[in-house]
Amino acid sequence: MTTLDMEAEAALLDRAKTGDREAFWELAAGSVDPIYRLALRLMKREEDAEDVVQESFLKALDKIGEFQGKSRFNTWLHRIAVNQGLMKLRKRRSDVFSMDAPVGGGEEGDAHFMELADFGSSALEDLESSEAATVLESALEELPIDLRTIVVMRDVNRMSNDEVAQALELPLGAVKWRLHRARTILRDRLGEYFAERVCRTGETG
Amino acid sequence: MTMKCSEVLACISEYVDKEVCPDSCSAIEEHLAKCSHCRAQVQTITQTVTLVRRMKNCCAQKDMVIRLQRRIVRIDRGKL
Ligand SMILES: [Zn+2]
Repeated sequence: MTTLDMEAEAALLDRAKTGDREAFWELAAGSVDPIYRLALRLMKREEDAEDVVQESFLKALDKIGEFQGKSRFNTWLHRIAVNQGLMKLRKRRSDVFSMDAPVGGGEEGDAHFMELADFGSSALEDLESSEAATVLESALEELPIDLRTIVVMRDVNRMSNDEVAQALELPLGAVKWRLHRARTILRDRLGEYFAERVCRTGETG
Repeated sequence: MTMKCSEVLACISEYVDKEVCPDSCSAIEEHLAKCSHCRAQVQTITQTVTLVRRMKNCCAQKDMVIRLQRRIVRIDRGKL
């Protein structure tokens, strides 16, 4: 995704701050797809996602003078995009959200001592099956928004835990815990699907 | 020193991401060798992460970038 090293990024940032649009695009281009993916997962509607992307990049352009370069540019853009997305969601009022709210999904995953079968060796090839992909899609969609945001940044956009913590202004421990919760919830949903599939196809597990 | 299941489960995500320190890693592996419950946890979380990473990802349409660039040009003109 972001292939620029820190030095190249710092040099581009200096130029971008003087109003050099070419430098701005060089900095920003690699973040367009990740920001769009994040926005789409937040907003769940293409037109709203596009608005968030546009507003985020315009905001970055407007505020670039204030950006200290303490995080990666991509991380900073994620931060802006999350804020833009949340603002829009609040206006839409269909999805209530606060990053400080208790972690979604309760605590029941804490002591998850039910016996777990592994999904089976065919699970990974199975994702190519549209059915399993649909299960994962809806499981992700149903995740509480704070957890969903973290999964997208971490496992889809491949940011580090530190970058996610910076982008969300959360302590590192909170990011790790929420990621763990999110993955556990997704795992349980997929587990249900694969267990059911095993029953249907009459395989012995 | 042996780890308890709850301790292993607490750092399972980091273990799957290979982000635990070497000492914790060997303690976890020592536990996993003996505990099928935690092994299943590690395996299913690993599979889940792999599946999420393999999901088809949408890309921004070229039009979107063009619209954004046009807006920036308009803003810049406005400033002149
Ligand atoms: Zn155990």
